[in-house]
Amino acid sequence: MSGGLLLVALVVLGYVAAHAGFRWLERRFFVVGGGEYLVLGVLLGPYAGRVLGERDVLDFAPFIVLGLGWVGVAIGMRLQLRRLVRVSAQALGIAVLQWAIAASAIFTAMLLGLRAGLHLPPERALPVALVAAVLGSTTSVRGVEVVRRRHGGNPTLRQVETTAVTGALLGLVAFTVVLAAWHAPVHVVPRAPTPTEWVAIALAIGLVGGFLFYLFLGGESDPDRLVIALLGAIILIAGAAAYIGLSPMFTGVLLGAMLANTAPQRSRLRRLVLGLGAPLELAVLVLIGALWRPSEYPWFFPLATFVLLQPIAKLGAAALATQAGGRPAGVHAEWGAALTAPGWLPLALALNWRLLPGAPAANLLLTMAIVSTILYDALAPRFVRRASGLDRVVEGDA
Amino acid sequence: MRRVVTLALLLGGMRLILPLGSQVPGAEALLVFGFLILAAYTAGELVVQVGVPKIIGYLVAGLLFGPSVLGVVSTAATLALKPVGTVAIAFIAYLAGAELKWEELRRTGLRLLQVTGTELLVCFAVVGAVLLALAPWVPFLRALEPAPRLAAAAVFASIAVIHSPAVTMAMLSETGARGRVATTALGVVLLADLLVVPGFSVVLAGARGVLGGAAGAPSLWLTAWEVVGAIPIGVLLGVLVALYLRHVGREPVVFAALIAVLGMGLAEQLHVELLLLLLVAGFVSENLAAHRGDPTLREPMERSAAPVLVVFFALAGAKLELAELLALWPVVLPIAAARIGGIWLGTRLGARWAGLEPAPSRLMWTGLVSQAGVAIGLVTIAAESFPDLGAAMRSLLLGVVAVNEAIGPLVFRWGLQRAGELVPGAAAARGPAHAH
Repeated sequence: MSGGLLLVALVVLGYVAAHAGFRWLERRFFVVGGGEYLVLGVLLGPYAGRVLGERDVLDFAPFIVLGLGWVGVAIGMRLQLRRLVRVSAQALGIAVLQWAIAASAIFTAMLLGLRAGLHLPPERALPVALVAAVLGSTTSVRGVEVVRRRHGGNPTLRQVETTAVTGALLGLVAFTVVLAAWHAPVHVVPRAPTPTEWVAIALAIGLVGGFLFYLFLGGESDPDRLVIALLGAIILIAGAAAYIGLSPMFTGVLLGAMLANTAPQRSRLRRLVLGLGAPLELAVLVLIGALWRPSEYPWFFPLATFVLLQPIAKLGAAALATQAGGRPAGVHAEWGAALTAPGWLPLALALNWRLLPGAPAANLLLTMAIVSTILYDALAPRFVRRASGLDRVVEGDA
Repeated sequence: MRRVVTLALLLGGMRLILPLGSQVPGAEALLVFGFLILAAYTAGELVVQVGVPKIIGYLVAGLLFGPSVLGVVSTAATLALKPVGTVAIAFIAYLAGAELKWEELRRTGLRLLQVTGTELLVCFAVVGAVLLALAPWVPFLRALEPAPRLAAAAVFASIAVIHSPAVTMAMLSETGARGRVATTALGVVLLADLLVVPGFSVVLAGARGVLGGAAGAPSLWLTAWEVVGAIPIGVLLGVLVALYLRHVGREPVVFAALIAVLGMGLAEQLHVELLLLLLVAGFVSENLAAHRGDPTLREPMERSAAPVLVVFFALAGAKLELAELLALWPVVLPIAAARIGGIWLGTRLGARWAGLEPAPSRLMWTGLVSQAGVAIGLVTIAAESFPDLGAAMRSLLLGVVAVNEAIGPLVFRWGLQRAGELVPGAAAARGPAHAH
């Protein structure tokens, strides 16, 4: 069986299994699925089972780019101003501070490790440490969603969600800045764009693209035409960003945010994005696993540092941020533990980095993202429930 | 107008971005793909305002932005987007199969076979005869001796008789037409598709004996397997789809897209005919599901297919080579006219033999004029089989396909209108994949 066909068959089977399996895992063990697709991808990839060759996987590069853009749009769709203005300044301040502290701690540790342990030159160590900091400081919202489904909402869950969404946004901005600052040389007349101009170009693709798409849609309400137009817009925006070596996720976030705040059909669009994105995510997870290859650098020390530091940095950052900003009413004292699971965003970012030709330590970063997701993500609901004090409610009820 | 302006601005933006270079493999194809969806969609919406089928709008958008005119879609990008065309054929085939009802087939199958068989044979004979008559002006025939000339003309004619289920299905979807002309034309197109592939294989094998084939050209056994092997695999896939619909049934739109892609992969890997595989799968799954009273996959499949079909037709337009068409038009036009004449005569004779009602007898030919992907696929096989003649044969056939592709939807629309089967206002409201 060819690699491409196997991949398609796997996604079909995985998609069917996910419907039954994810909910069952959630009900029975209170864990979330997804990591198994990564493992499956690694096992099938060129460095384990060799069922999928590197060529097979790279044939799906446009599909991966579309998947990344889609992830971005799904994040952007969460950024509705109507809802954002209801988030208190205190909660937002804590979220920003928590992300900044966690990212700085991971950046510093990784930079020192990469320079002292791996002897990487500064021009290579700096972007790698920055990307590692972004990967290490993001938080999954899936745990919050699962806990909310079972126990209902509470102020801690709201704070965790605010922190996760803020972190995702800040992480994507930081990632785009890294891509712009260390952009591969481009030979255009009269001169290549500067890093600031690359960032401006990324902003323009997302914002102008989003605005033009808003104009394009007008009052369209037919679901089929919405699907056609939405697909066209996401593909165009993601393709444009990837084409010039920027992040399709970042432009996707801007497009999603524009639509979430301006389009009259916003709720229908949101349903479409989330519904059609599910198999894309599974496929991208398998492809991420299949794209994994052993790191070109000695991997144990940086990987161990990253994996161990990640929860400590997040927890510590949450404690410091709460101390600085004051604990919002109703938020549990140990809420920082709910931020442990990284979610799938670091995987998408590491994949984005891996696809760029000549990106330094791409395999090392992908390995870090895969390992931390496999280690922490499944238990995300348990972390969130415990950190929000809801486990005691359950025990008390019982 | 608002969409045209938006599109022009998007095009301007793309022009600014393109010199900044490609970083990720396949990203340019993706960029072009996105633009083409929006451009073709806009063109479709525009032309429908003046009573022209949307498909023509998609084709025009493809032609306009393709390598022949503006060059926004490069030849490399059209090649990179080839899988989109294959997925589109998978969607079309599944939807075509889903249209076939077991009960109806049992009732009208023999009559359809009579009409289709007669139409194909008459059209084959007429096109072959005209081609031989024009041989001194036909580039790939003029230097051949009588026997090889006859063989080459037969190969060409066996491809020229092919119709386009894609266009017929899409026209019926767009117009919402229901009636004897619509259903008979669809039945003939689908049945013809089952017959032409083995027919072509037989002609090709015979021609190889006369003309001498290229080493490594597909053997008769392989071609036979492509047709016969597709049936059990299609049945299996259809049963699996029916089982999913019965026991899981969630998010069918996404599942439909996955099935189309899976079918494509299976056909490629197992070397079976994609069209037939998905046609059988659609037929089996829909009839099984309908028999048990389960939900079917037809409507979700239409939803998934919509954007893919827009690009499929736009790509077909982008692949039209204007320069070649203009150079060959003195030969292309008589052959295209002969083909239409052959279809008309064949359907009239076939309908008389089968005892069809007057309306389909007179007008069903209008649904058989269009040609697209399958014909192009088969001429590629012919070109590989006869490298000396192939390129010239391909150019001429692409010219004929271009004419039929352009006028086919218009003729069919006229036919449906004459038969009183058009649903007023349906064209404006429905997309290309919306079957009735």
